[in-house]
Amino acid sequence: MVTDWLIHAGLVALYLFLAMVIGLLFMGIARKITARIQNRVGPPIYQNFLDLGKLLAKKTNIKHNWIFDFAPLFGLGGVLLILAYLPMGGYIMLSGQGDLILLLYILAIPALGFALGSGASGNPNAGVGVMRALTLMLSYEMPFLIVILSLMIFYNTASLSVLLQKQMNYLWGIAALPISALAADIALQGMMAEKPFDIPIAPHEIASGPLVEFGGKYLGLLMLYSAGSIVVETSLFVDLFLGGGIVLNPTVYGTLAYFVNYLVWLALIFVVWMIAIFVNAVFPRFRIEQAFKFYWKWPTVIAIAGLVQAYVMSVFLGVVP
Amino acid sequence: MDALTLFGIFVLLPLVGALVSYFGKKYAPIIAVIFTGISGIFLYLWYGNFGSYTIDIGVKLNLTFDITTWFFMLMMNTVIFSSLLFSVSSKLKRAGGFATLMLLGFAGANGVLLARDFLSLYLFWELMSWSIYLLVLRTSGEYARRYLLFGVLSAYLLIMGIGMIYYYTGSFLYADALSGAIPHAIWPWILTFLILGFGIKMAIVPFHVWAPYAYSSEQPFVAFLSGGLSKLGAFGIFMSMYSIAGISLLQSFGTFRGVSLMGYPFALLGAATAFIGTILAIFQDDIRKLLAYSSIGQLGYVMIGLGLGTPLAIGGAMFHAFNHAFFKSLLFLGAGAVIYRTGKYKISEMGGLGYRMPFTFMFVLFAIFALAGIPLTSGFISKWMLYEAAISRKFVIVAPLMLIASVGAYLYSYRILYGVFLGQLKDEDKNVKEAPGPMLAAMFILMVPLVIFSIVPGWILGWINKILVENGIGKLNYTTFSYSSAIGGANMAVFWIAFILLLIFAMLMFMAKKARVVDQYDNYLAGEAPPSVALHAAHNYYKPLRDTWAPLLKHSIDRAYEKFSKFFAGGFYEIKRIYTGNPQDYAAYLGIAFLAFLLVGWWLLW
Repeated sequence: MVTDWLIHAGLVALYLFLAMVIGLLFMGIARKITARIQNRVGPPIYQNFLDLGKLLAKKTNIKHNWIFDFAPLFGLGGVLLILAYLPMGGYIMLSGQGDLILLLYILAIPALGFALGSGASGNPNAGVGVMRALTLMLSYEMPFLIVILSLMIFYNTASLSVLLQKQMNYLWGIAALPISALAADIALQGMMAEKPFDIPIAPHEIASGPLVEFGGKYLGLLMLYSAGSIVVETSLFVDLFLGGGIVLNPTVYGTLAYFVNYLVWLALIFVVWMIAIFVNAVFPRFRIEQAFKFYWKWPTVIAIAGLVQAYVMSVFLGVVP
Repeated sequence: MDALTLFGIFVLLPLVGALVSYFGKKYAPIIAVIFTGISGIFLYLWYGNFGSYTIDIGVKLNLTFDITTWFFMLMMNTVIFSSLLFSVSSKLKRAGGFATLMLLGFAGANGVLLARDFLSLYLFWELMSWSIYLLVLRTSGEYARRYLLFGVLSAYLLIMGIGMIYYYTGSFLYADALSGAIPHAIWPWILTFLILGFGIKMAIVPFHVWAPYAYSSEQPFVAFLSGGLSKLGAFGIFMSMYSIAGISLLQSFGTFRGVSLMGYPFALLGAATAFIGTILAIFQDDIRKLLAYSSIGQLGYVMIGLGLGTPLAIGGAMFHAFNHAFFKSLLFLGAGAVIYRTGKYKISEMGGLGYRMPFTFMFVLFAIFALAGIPLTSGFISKWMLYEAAISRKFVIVAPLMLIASVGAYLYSYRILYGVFLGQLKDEDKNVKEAPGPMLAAMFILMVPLVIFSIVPGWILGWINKILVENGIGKLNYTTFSYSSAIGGANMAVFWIAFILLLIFAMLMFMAKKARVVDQYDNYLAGEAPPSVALHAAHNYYKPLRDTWAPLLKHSIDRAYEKFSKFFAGGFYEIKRIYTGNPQDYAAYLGIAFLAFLLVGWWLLW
């Protein structure tokens, strides 16, 4: 019993560590690809590991007050908590113990901690940045929540682990609800704050917004936070619509299935990340009110169309996945 | 225990306290705290000692002390205890009158909760309502009039409902309403009148316009009004729908996906309230108004739960009412502490107070967690129950409105946190001290249940489950640490263990190196020339969003009422003009009237 728990905890720790590594690697790949698209050479793909090492090894660290410490603490702790509640490659970790609604609200913990810390810096750019981030959140959550609702109505579950199970047995979400998947991907661009929605961090307008006052270990830990966030957001899409990358049934194939599923999951989140990066590389930036109007117009209409489809299929046609 | 003891402790004792504390001068709040404390102790001792007592004094009256009453009294008692404790050190003017009126309101509220007959319900309801009026009047006559208008409307609606029931049954007892004397077609009218009458106290859209004004009065009172007394609306609606009418009667009006058609429109109204209240809260700069609109929005959630009427939904509504009682009074008290120390109301004029008032900041932060539904407090669980109730029955209008309103809550929550407690500290606030001890104690008392019931939700879900079972609604699925619905569930023990372990891990990584503390003006300005910029970026915080909403914000229900009243005032002015003071005109009126009578009479006879 106790050994089972320890093995489980050890595996969760391993998955969390791998997720952080993948996140940093993805950041490096994104920098390289963006550079190539823009006809630059770009840094090597391991650049972010070097950056992280440098930041964590810095001698001088500056802070403004005790609330300032909330950002790295809740940022890193919170993002690890989210990762623990997200199935990765079919390994459900804690997501049997908490459903999608809990996950949606845990998503707010690191963001809130980060917002508190940056607000405490006293730099007006940080305040403006958080204002933009929250407004952007209100914008993209509209289509995203409707999409989540369509999924929950169609698969008749709010639990991510059950959702993965049902997608494995029936159809992947993207095949069953393609319209919702489209809306979710548009919302994902805003969630990841990639162009055209990199409004909260907008380096040329508000000096990286919420990040402006952080340096040294603070910035290092926040870099880990953003690395984790990349995995969270892409993995969320993969879990919701691409069956969590489960191609082999773990009850039949055992450990091999976990291994293969993990690789498939990795490939899928890479694809989702690449879509975001390609869009990011070629688009200019919206203003925040444009982003708000955009999200509450077209993606919301698409998401509502998806909701209608899910509703009709599950209520009137009686499709039970 | 008999009816008189019950009545004595929960109604007469606060009334005596009201009388005593009136002469208490500046010690009045302390005397009032003691009196509420005594009835609180009895509330604690008498848990499980439930009973129902019918008294015949010409009409039959009934006092009942059961789990529903106990649950609501628990909120009411804790909230008024903390509010009065807070007011001990807030140096109110005419503190005797304040304490007296608060205790009168408390006695009225307890009476409403104990009453199981319409006569005493109405009497205590009016006692409570009028003491609120007088308490608001202490701040502003204008605000009090606005409250009074809706208070009276609420009373009229209640009288209509009660009168219809009495006309058919000839009895005031709740229990007699279902005897079959009331025709089936009359029930929807009765329920609509009662629900709207109670709903006004909950500030349901479109009857919410009194709330932002009334909630701008003295903070200890507003904490009790928003946290405690507004729950009487929820209690009243719960009683009229699920105790007086009962679930089988509600279901007989037709159902939509298993939810009564009598309840569903009110769930929609609640969803609209949640959405509108939240959006309006985002744009407020006055902290009292922001909290008032937020209160409107949060009570919209309670209304949704009561309207949907599944066990999970009603349980969620009860739990949310409980959470709201604690976190909203905590927020009002936190705002009161800040206002007491700085004398400012506008969020944009404050800033940086979290560094000077760290305990107030921490308490408010926990209230904000509960408000925003962060799982670190019990605020999450009640929202979870409401969402799952709506989603498991596939309600595609109610659920998205609830979810997006909850995201909107992040926006105004952060506006409070950033505008008041974070950002740059103003020079004139450099010497602000932490709030006095009684204020901190009051806030701490309110914070404790929010955290406890997040770790051990089973305790409170046990009480709520009892309420649901006793009223024949159904039951909840829960254990000590976890809870589940038809479509999902969560385990708070796992959550807390994982959270604490990962936070410790982050702390270990973080603690490895010391950091040097620098001044707030010592920050990066992207190449700007000045050595420092004193700028707290909190003025008109969500301006881009406000600009986008401007075409819609133009239409305000508040202003619509004002136009309506102006129209009537103008109409009466026109009518008044017929009194010209000229005898010839009066003679002409007489002539015209005579002619009119002649014509009408002629037409009638012919």
